Amino acid sequence: MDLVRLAWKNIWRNRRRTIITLTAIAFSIMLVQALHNLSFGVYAGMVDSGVRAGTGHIAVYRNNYLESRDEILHFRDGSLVDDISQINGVEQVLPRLYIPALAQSSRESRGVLLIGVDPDRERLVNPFLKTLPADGMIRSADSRDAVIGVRLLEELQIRPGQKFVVTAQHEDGSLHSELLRVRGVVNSGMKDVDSSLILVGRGRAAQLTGKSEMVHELAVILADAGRETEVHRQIAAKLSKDQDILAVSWEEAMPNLANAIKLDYASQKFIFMIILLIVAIGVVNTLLMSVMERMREFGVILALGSKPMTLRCMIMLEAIILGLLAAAIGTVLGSLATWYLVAVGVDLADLVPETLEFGGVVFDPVMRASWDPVWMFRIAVYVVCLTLLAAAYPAIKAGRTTPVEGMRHH
Amino acid sequence: MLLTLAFRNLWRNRRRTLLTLSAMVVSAALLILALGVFSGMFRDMLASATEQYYGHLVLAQTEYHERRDLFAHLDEEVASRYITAEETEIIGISPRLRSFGLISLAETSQPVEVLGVIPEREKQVTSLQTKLIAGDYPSDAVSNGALIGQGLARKLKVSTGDEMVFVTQAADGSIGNDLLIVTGIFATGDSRHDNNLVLAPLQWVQQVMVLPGRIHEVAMTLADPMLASLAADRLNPRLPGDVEILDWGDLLPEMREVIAAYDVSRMIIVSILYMATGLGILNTFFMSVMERTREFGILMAQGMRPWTIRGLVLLETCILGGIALAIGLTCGALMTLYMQQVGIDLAGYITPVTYAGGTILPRLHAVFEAGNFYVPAGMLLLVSLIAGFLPANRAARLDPVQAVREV
Repeated sequence: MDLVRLAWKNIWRNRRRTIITLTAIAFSIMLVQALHNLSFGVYAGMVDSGVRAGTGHIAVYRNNYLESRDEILHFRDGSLVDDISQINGVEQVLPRLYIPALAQSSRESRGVLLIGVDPDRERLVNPFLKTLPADGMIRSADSRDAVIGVRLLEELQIRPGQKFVVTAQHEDGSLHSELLRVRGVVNSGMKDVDSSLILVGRGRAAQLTGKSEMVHELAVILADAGRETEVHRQIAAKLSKDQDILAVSWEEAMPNLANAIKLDYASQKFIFMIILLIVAIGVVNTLLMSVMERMREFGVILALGSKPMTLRCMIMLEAIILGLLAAAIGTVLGSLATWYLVAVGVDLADLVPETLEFGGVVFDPVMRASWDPVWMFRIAVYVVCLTLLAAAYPAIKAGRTTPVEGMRHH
Repeated sequence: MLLTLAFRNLWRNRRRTLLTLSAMVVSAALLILALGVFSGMFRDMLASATEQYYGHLVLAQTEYHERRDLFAHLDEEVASRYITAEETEIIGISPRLRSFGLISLAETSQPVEVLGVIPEREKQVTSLQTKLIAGDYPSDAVSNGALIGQGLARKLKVSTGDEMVFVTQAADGSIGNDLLIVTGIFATGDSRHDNNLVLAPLQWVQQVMVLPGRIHEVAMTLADPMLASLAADRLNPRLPGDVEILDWGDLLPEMREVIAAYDVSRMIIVSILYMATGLGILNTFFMSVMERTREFGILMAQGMRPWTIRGLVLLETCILGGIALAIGLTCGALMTLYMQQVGIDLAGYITPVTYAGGTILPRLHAVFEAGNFYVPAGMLLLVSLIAGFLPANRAARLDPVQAVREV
C-alpha cells in the first residue's frame, strides 16, 4: 500500500509533465472511442437501410441461387412465409421472384431485372416504397401495375400511367410478353437502382414466366438486428425439412455492403493503430525521463536496502496509475463526445454529394453515432495494457542500477 | 551560432530526443503510407469508371447521357470533324453505338448493355484487353465476335466459342435479334461491368439496330484524367449546339465530389493524428526548457535578449521537425513505393466495393500524389512550431535573477 502511495506521489512531482501526458493519452482514447462509435452508428444505419431495400437481415435461397442467379433455382414458398413470420423477432418476410427481362416502350428498350413482390408486405418495409403516394403502389399481386426507377422511366421515355411491355423467357423456353402500366416511380438516388428497378406483383411476374407460387428469395427483416444469430438458427430449423433451401445472413447475401463496411473500418483501424503507437512512444518517453531524473534517488533507496524488484514494481505502479487515470478521463470525454454525436451528429451535407452511394446504399449525410460500450471499455483496457508495456523498459532500467552508480548520477 | 547551439542542445539528452523524433517519424511515415493507399483506392475507383467504361471525355448529342435515347445518334465520322490531330493530349478516340437488350443461351437470359465498337480504336480508350481471363479481344476478323464479362459468362454458362442470341429493339421499331460468338471473357472486379457489359463489333450492332453508319457517342482518353474538365471546356465552343463533350466529372458527379471531399478528409485525418504527436513534442520541450532554467538565466544575465532565447527554443523544435520530416518522408516514400510495386491482395477477404459510381478493388495499392506528402509535411512543421511556442515563451519570460537561483 505504501508503494501505491509512493507511486501516486511520484506521478505528481512533475505536475505539468504528468498532465500533458495524461492529456495526450486521454485525448487519444476520446478520439478513438468517439470515432468508433460514430462509425458504429453509421454502419448500423447503412445496414438497416441496406437490408430493407435488399435481401433482409436473413435471406432464404434454394441451393446456390445467390452466386449463380440461375433462374431455375426457385422454390415453392407455401407456408414458409407465415411460418417464418411467426418466429419471435421477425418483423416481416418478403417473398420475391427475380426475372431478367427486356422492358420496351414504343421508342426504347432496356434490359432489366424484374422483381415480383408481395406489394402489401413490401410497402411496409422497403425504404424506396415508403415515400410513394397511396395511389402509387401496386394494387394487387395480379394487377398490371408496376413501380419503376425514375431513370429507367426517363430512358424508356414514358410517364406514370402509361403502358410498356416486358419480355422474358417463359419456363417452356419461348419468349413471353406482358403489358404493364407505370403506377409509381422510385427515386432512390442510386443510379443503378433508379435505372434498373421494376417491381410488379408476384402473381403477374409468375404469369410471365410460368412460375406460379414460386419464389427465388425470402427476405427476412428483423425487428432487432441484434438477434440475428438466434433468429437465423430458428429459420434454419424450419427449413431443414428440405435440404436444398438455405438461410444466409445479409453479410453473405450483400457482400458489397458488408465489404464496404469492412474496408472502411479496416482503414479506420489503421489510423487507430498509429494513434495508439504514438501514445505508447509518448508514455515511454515520459516514464523514461522521470526514471532518469530520479537515478540518484533510486541509488539512495537501493542503498537503504530496497530490492530492485520493489523499484520495478513502483515504476510499473506509476504506469498503471497513469494508464488508469488516463483511461478514466478518456472514457468520460469519449462518452461526452459520443453523447454529442448521438444527439446532434455530424452534418456532412456540404461536403458530400446529396446522393452518395457506398456499398450499394445511399450514404446519409448526417452521421450519427451509436453506443458501443463494450468496445469503449475494451479500448480503455488496451490503453492501460499499452501503458504497462511502455513502462517495461524504464522499469527494467531503474531496476538495473546499483546503489553506487545511482548515487553518482547527476 | 544560434543554429549550432540549438543543434547541440537537442543532443544533450539523446534518448529523449530520439524518442520524440521516433514518434514524429512514425506518425509522418505511416500517415503518408495510409494516404497513399487511400489515393490508390480512389485511383482504382476512377479507373473502374473511366478506363473500363466511359473514357475521360465523351462526345454525344446534348442530353444523350440523361436518357440514352436510341435515336440520339450521330454520324460515324463526327469525331474527325471536331477533334483535330492538334489535340495531342487526347490519346484515344473510339466511336460507339449502344444497345440495351436481352442476351440468352438455351434457357437462361440476362439483361445486357452492348457497346458496338471498333476493336482497335476501343483499345485506346478502355483497358478491357488487359483484363482478359479467357479467349481474345474481338478483332475485325470475326464479324460477330463479342467480349463479355465474367459474371455474365457464369450466369449464362457460356465459354469462348459459344453462340448467344441478342434481342433488342431496333430503330425501325422491329425486334432485332442476331447471333454473337463469345471470343473473350474479361474480369474487372466491378460487378456492374462484369455482369452487364458486352463489347461487339460496331458494324454488327449497327446492323442489328438498323442504324447503318451511325453511332451514339465518341469516347476519348486523355494523358492526364485530371485535366478532363479543362479539355472539355476548351473543345465545347467548337461544337454545334446539339452536340457536347462531357468529362468524367459530368458523367459521374458523385465521384467528382467524393474526390474533392478527399482533400477535406485528408486534412481531418492529418490534424487528428498530429494532435497526439504535438502533445508529445510539447511535453519534451517543456521538460528540456525546465531543465535549463538556470542556464537560460545565465544566458540572459549575460545579455541575451528574450527574443533570442525564444528563437533558440523554436529553432530546436524546427530542427527536430526538419529531421523528423526528412526521415519520415523518406520512410513514407519507401513504404508507398513498396505498396505501389507490390501491394497487398485482399481478394481472399473481401470482394470489390462500389463507391460513388465506381468500384474499389480488393487490394491495397498505393499511388504517389503530391498532396499526400506536402500536407503531412507542412502540418508536421506547423505542429512542431506550435508545440514549441509555449515552452519557448516560457523560456523567454524567465526573470534572470530567479532563474539563476533555481537548482
